[in-house]
Amino acid sequence: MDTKTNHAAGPAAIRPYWMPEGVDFDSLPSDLRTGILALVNPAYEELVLRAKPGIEQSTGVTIVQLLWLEVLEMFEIGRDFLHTDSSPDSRQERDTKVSRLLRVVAAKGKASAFWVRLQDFRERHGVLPGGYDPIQREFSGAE
Amino acid sequence: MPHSADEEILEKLESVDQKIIDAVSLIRQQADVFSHQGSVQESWRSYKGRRLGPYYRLVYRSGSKQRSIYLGSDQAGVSLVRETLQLVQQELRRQESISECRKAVRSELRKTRRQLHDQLAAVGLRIQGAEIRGWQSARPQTNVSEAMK
Repeated sequence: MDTKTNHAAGPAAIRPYWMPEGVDFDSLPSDLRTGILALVNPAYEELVLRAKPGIEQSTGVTIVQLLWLEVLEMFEIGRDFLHTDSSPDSRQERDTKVSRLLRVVAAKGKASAFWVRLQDFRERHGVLPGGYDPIQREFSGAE
Repeated sequence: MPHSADEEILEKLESVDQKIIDAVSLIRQQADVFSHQGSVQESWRSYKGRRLGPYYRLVYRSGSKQRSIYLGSDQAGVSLVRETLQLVQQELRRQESISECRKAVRSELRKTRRQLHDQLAAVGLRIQGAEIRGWQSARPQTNVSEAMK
């Protein structure tokens, strides 16, 4: 590589504070960065920042990370449809990407269903799994 | 190549050396070769105890052979070759940055899943495939004797 400058990146966007160290946010294409900020940021605020520490928060982080992967996969697939030919190799590569996207979406669906079940559990019992009844609540680490 | 950047390079070619024109033409004609390799490298020479340079070369691999094209020392011309390379390698960089991002997110996801697994185990729940099992044992205990078990 001749230089590290990336013209594809476009104008700089503010790096989200929850972004892990290993991600070079500024080197991502600008439309992808916009997608991440518009879709993943609100999910992070709702599912992680407002969640109780423990199971609920970890589930929220899982959903956010899967959503992030989904955005990445969809971006790649969208680009492929515009820029690649219809040769068998290109088609096979696109099919692989679509399968990967579907797996991510399915996993996100399961994690989201678990999240809903956690909320339902809390509504029914007043505590998250592992909690005690209201009289015993001081023994619980979950509430 | 993006149209405007490409046109800009063509305009600048009018005022540079033939070596630079040849190098830029080669990169444009063999974009598939240069999309994933090739770089501009600098070198120095010494003449009668004096260090001269830098002089630049376009280095790339063609088949199994390493090749290089001498570019001279003209900074404007060298920048033009670098810009052309950058354009054809842009797509590769885009793919690399997305791939690195995907790897980082997957690595974080594995850590989160391990953490969640431990947290679930602590309250009697377990991950079975993609499902969470053991809800019966996770129900809150309703009397003191159950809580003390």
